[in-house]
Amino acid sequence: MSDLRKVLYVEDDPDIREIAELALEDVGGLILNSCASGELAIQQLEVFKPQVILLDVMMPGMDGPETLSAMRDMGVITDTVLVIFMTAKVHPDELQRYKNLGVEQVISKPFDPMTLADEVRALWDTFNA
Amino acid sequence: MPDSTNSPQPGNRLEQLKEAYKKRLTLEFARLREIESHLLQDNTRQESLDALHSALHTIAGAAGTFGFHTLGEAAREFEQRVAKQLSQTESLGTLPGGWLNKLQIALDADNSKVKHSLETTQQRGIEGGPTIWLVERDNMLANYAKNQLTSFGFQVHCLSDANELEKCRSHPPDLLLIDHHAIGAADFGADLAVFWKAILSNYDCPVFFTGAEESFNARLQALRAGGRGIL
Repeated sequence: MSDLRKVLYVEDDPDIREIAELALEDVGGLILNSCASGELAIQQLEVFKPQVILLDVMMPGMDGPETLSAMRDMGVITDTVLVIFMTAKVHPDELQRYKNLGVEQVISKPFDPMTLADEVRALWDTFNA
Repeated sequence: MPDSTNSPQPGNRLEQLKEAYKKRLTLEFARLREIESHLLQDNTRQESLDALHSALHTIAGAAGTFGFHTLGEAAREFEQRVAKQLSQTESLGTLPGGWLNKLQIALDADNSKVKHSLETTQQRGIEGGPTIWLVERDNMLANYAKNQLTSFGFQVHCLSDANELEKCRSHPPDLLLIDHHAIGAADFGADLAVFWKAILSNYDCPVFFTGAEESFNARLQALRAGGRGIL
């Protein structure tokens, strides 16, 4: 199993993006590419080649699930890439939607900036176990 | 690797970000006041309710990360009420009067707390804190709920099947949260209430069932099964 280094993070809220950058880069030591929208993330995907994609669920324009669907349709995500949704609410109907997209992991919002990187790493380890 | 001689330390940056977010909340509240004035004229106006839902969702998802936990929780509660109103599963006008004032009180409460650094604002499973057993078959949902509850200081133990409740009685929990589908593959049919009552008779703590349905029938089933209600 390769160590986790590269994370693509998609979040429309600039304040949350900034604190996640702090949490994942400065606290967690990860290489982060953060994008303000699903459209921008799709453009970054092939060049950046992330190991983990962290996707906010509710965003204006393309939401998280729509972004992931588009990525999958383009064939730019392999099954070695872990996709994690970040959301402030989980409803059983939504869970089914996530699972239909092959997403089994969710990080709840609000997140703790001091433990976010550990949480992502733990999910990465589980994904590769 | 960041250059520590030029970059502020994470703790300092967290405090700076918290201050920046505090200023942004001033703008968010101005936006909420504007929405409130529209709703006072017409509280069924779709455009205003959509805007309110969006604003509350943003605060609910972000405030806690910056240490404004009381505000985040209040925003979450109101967001859920607006969502129900928008889906028309509840009668119109479910948002309580003075909701904006209540949000302001929540913000004031967060502001008046002794200054904490962000590292200590979220509690993680306090040793000796109240214990919740969560019986949930869905792994994703279980992890999500566990994260949420531990961030409020609860110690959470997850069980994937209700039958496991029969086996672990040594250290009973303070609260049981049970997904009412967590009964394995068995179909108990009309005996479902009997099944739950038999298992729960060994527990003295409050029991709540969890599920997607909040109908009268679902609540009644929860009570018949020995729970205090359904979440």
